[in-house]
Amino acid sequence: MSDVTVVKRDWQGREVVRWTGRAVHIDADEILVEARFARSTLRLPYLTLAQGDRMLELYYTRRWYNVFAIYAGESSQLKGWYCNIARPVRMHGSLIESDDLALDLFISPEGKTLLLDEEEFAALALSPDDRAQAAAGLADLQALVREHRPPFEALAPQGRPLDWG
Amino acid sequence: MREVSTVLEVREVWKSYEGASLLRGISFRLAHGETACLLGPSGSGKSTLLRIIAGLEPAEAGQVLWEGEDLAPVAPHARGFGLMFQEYALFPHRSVLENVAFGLRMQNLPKAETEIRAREALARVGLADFSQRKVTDLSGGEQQRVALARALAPRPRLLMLDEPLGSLDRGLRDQLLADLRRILALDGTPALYVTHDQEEALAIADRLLLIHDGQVQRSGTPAEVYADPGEAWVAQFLDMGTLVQARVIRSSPLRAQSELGILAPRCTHTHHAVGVNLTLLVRRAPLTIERTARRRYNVVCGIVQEVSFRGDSYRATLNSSTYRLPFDLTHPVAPGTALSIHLAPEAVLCLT
Repeated sequence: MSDVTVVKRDWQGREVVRWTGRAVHIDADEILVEARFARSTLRLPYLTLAQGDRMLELYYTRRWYNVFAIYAGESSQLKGWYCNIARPVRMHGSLIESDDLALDLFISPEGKTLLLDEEEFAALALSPDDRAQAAAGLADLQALVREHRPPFEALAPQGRPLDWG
Repeated sequence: MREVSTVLEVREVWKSYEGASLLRGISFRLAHGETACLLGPSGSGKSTLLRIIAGLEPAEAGQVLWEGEDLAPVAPHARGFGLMFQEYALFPHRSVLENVAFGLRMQNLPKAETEIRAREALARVGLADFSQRKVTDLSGGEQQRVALARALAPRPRLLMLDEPLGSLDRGLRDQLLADLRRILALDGTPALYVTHDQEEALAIADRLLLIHDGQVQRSGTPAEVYADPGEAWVAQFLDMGTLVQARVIRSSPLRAQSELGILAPRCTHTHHAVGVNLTLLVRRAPLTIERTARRRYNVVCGIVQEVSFRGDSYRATLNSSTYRLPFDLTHPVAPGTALSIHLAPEAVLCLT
């Protein structure tokens, strides 16, 4: 019933890729989509994505990033979070449109972060406002990771009270 | 009264799918605090209707209104509607409380308020003591309750449930249905519940909306619909009994000749002329075995077939003419026995 299509565009609004998923939660600020990694195995130095891996994708209508929690297949094993710095998403009907701004942050289940594609981001001819918003978005994201705030609560060591942000 | 408190109105909505009309000017209203159940067979368009209400799909014609406001320009995320499905996609690495708090985090509430609200929602679904458990340690039914708490916690103005209990076994489903009904009644959140399962619909709905051929064929409380299904399709879909063709032989009181004999149907229509064809419903109601043929109508003779034990009764089939009437008995009767059964006055209903 809640099938949606995510359209990833580049910074100039050109479509890069689209995929389908199911919207699990929709509210004014946040859209949670469940999707499966549909391509063949992708080996990255910090992460291997396999066909069928479950992605719980968080899109924000007012924040300059989105966050994908990646789980191994059907299991509850978290492979990490992949975060895209992007303009706030727009939702039209069942289309969720996200303009990707190249800069990515990967967070391992242990909380180690890896900033990716900085050079590509630097080379984009973004407006000063876009660039500033993107940088602020990244800083917010890094702070959430550091402080174990949602959606990164699982980084909190056992027994430690959680910060509800 | 319903008029005054209408929150959602679906007005003359049309939608086609691959060239065929799926929704054909469908209309209904939902009152505040009401749980309406969209009930229809697979492919009847009920999930599409839910998508249109959620804003995930445009209608080709017609309107969806919230408190009189046309929702067409309102994006799905701005509608304030909560969703719950069969596959609930909880975050497996998070605790129960964190999953429930999910929809609250963005509301800029003080964190104490967020936790209070999440705990309240958990208490409402009967999982107050489960807050620190991992969702992967819970049973399917418990996980489904967590998903319900997650949907309720942000206090949506409408809750939409699409076959939410489809994957659970019967016993668990009955328990959850009873809980869901209690929770929705207490909560007061108006809800649209989509299912193809009649028993589920009867258990949960304040009002049934039976969808067929792209329209609401019948709307009413479960008791109203059972008292008068209105349409032959409704009676058949709800498995209320056997449809029997008959011809009027007397207008008042109404008597009709059928292959089962002369029947005296209950009828809410104004008048049927002699000679007119009728569709009658012979309900699967408790029947009495006729020892002596005292009456001239509502007595059906036939041969008993297929007797099966049902715990509190015996379900049997009576073959009479071309019809096979299911009925219940308190004592078993051997298959092959010739029987006359007496249909109670309320067991025969005129549909057309």
